[in-house]
Amino acid sequence: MITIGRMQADTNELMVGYPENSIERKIISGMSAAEGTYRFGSREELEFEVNLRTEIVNSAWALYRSNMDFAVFRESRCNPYYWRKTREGGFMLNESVSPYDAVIDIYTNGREYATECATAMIIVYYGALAKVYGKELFDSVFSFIHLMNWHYIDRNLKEIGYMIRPRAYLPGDRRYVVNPDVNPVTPEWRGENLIDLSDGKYYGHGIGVYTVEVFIRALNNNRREDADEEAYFMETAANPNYSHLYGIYRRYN
Amino acid sequence: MRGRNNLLEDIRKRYGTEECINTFREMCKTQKDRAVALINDARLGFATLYILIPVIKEFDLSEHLSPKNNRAVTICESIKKRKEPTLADIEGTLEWILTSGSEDDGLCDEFDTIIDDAASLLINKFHNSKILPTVAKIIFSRNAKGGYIHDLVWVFFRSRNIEALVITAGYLLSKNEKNVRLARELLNIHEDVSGKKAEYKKMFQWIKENYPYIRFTGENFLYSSRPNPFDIDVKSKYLCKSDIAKTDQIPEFDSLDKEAQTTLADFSGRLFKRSRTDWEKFMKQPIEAQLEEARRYLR
Repeated sequence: MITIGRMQADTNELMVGYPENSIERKIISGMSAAEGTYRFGSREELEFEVNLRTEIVNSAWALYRSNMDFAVFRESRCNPYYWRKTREGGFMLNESVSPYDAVIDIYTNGREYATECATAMIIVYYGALAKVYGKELFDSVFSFIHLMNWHYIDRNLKEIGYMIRPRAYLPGDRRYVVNPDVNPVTPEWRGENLIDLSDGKYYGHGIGVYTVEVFIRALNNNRREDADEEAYFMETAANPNYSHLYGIYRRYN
Repeated sequence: MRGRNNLLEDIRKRYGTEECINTFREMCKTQKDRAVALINDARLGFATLYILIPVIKEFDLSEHLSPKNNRAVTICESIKKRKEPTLADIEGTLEWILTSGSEDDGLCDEFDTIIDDAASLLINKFHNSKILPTVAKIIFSRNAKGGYIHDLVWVFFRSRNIEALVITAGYLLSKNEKNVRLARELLNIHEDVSGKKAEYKKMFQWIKENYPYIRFTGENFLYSSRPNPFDIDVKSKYLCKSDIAKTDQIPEFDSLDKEAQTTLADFSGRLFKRSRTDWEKFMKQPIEAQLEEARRYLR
C-alpha cells in the first residue's frame, strides 16, 4: 500500500504519465502490492523515489555497457586525472576536479577502470544521483568521494550499506548472493552484490546482467574442493534513504 | 650455517630486496652449494625465499630445495594462478609462510595476497585456530598503516572461533586510535564514555556470559557497512542449551518480537547460572509470566 500524507494513494492515478511496462510503473505497482505501507509526505517525494530507483536501474545498465573491468582491490585501476588509487585499492577523488565529471568519466571511459563488485554498486548510486541532482547540486553535496566497499560511504548514502528484510523487492534494490564455501584463495567470489533491474534480471559487476540462477551458478563454480553448501540468494536488500536524499533535492530546487 | 642469523635474511633486512637478490645470484654462479645451504637453512624466513624464487628458477635449484621450501614455492605458484593448492601435508608450510611472512607484510601486493591466502587456507581448509593471534596482528598492523584488510577480516571471523572475539576485544585497549575504532566496528559496539578499559571489561564480560550461544554469521564488508560477524542465538540462550537443533520449535517463543526474545534469553541465561532450581521453576511458567518477570528484573 502507498500513502501520501495520511491518505491511501490511488495506484492507477499515480501511474498516469508513465509508459506501459516502464520501470516506474513496476516500482509503483510493487510498492502498492507490498504487505507493508510505503509512506510519503507528498506526491513529489514519491516521484523522487520512483525517479531515483529508475536511474539506479539505468546507471547499472550504463555501467555494465561501459566495459569497466573486474579486478580485486589490489589490482584495481582508475583514471588518475580524476581519481587517486588508495593503498587499500579504493579510489579517492582528486582535489580540484568536479565530482560530477569524475563520476561520469567512469561511465564514459569504463575501460580505464577496474574494481570489485561492491565498488561498482557505489558507482551505480553516484551515477544515478548525478542524473537526478544535476552537476551543480551533485558537486556541492558530494564534494569528497571515496569509492571502495561498504566500509567507506558518504554520510548521505550510509543506508546503502545496511541490508534489511524489505517490505517488497523493487527495481533498484541492492541484493546479495552469498557463497559460504568459497575457494579459500579466491575470496572475491565469497559473494556478489546485485542491482535489481526488474523482470527477474540483475546486474552484478564482473559477471554481467542475468537471472539470479546464473549468479548462483557462477559462485558455485568457485567453491572449495570439498564444498558442501551451495551459494544462495539472501532475502535482505539495501537502499539509499530516499526521503533524506529528497530533502536535499527539495531544499535546492 | 654458523652465526645467529641467516646471511640472506641479514642482507635483505639491512640492504634491501635488490641487494639480496644480487648476492644470491652471484652465489649461485660461483658457490652453488653454499647458495643451496643458505636457502634451505631453517632460519630463512618466507619473505626472503619469496623474493629469491625467480633466481631459484633461473638456476634450476628447485630439485635442491628442502621439502618445506619446495612446497612453499608450489603454494606461491598455485596462489598466483588463483588455484587452491592440491599438495598434501601443506599445513605446516602454510603456518611458516604466515608466521614468518607476517613480519614482512607490506613487501608488495603479491606477497600480501599470499599471506592472506595462506591464512584463508589455514582457517577455511585446515580449521587451524592457532594462527588467529597472528592474523589479528596483521589486520591491525595493516589497518594502522591504511592497508587492505577486508579479506583477512573475513577470514578471521570465518574461523567461527570465540578466540577471534577475545583477541579483537584486546585491541580495544590499543594505543592506536584507528585500531580501537576498527575493534569497535568489528565487535559492533559504540564508544563507551567511561573509557577504553571499561569498554574492554564490558565486552569481555559479554563474551564470558554469552560464549555458548554465539553464532558466526559470515557477514563482512563486501556485504554490509555494518557487518555483524557474530550474533547471539537467542533461542539457544533462552533454553540454556548451546546445541539446539534448527528444527527445535517453541511456538510461544518464536512468535515474540526480537526485543522480547532477547529479554527472555538474557534473564533465562542469568537465572540458569544463579540457581538451577529457580530456572526450572521459571521455565514452567507461561511465556507471558516469564516475560513479565524478566522485564521486572532487567528494568
